[in-house]
Amino acid sequence: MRMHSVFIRHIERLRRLVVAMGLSAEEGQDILQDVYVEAVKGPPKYRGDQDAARWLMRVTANRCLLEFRRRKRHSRAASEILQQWAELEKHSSGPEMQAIHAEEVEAMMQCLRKMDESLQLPLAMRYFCELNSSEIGEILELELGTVRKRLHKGRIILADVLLKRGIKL
Amino acid sequence: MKEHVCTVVSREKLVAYVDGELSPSETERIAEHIASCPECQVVTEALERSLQVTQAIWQTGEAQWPKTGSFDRIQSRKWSFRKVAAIAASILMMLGAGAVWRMLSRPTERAGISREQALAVEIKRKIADSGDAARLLAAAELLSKYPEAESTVKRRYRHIIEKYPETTAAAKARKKIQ
Repeated sequence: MRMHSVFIRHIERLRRLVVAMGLSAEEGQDILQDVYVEAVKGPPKYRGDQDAARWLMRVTANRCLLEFRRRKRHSRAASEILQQWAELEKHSSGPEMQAIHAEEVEAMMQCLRKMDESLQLPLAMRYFCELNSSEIGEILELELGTVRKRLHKGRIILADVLLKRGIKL
Repeated sequence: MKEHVCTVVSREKLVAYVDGELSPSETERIAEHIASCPECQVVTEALERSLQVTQAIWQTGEAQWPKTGSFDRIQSRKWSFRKVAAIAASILMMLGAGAVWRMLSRPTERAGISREQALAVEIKRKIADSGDAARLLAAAELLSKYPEAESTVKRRYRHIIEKYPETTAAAKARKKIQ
């Protein structure tokens, strides 16, 4: 039951990781179902819940990578994203964001489609799953310096999309 | 990135600055520099804006997921094609070679749908139902190891019986809750 409750507590974060890797809700639910069954069947022994949560993130990340390699990712249309974003903004209580333009979304989606998984995974964990660099290092079994380098490289690639296209900032 | 001509602050340092990873003194030093360097201003804005747009893409992807009962939904997802295909052979055996033979050898057109087409649809439905029911049963049996999940497990057994009454899994579920 322990893994069941750890899974429930971390499901939002696991879901975010799947989403940020560009997989659809349907594919994501298949992945999480497999992760859940694997977890409940009996993962290796862990020292604590935090350790078990890291194991869940690692297994989910690995499953995402398998799908990531064989699926067409980030395949939604920019217009669909803008429409959904407008809906989300309507109900959001957070600070207002400057309007997003279709060309920016399209360019960014293209960049995400092409981006190497070794950069996209840490970016998703850091900027969407809200994990810090050392947690990411533990999950992906990478040195802290390597995680930081990958995060910086990923951020620079994303920023370059806007700079190269001369999109007005 | 477009050539970063500023030689005072590297672009990696600008990433660390916008992410708030620098010490207070270094943050102050970089902020002062950016205020007087148009090149670093543009790069800083691009770093912030590109992350905002990326996060918006991720958030709209997340919004496509079912809002409520997402965990139940995950547990009750259909089996993947591979898993369904794996049990297809045994289901076909259950249906009997005779029925399959009739399907293949005695085509009869009726209202645009032949008998074999109708039978094929029926077989497909039974395979899907058996697959779904078997998977739900397996998940319920896994959970049944934990006393805390007793009510959830019973609910799942009842669901299998109601939704897939003709399957082997439903028969097993009936025995479990008796």
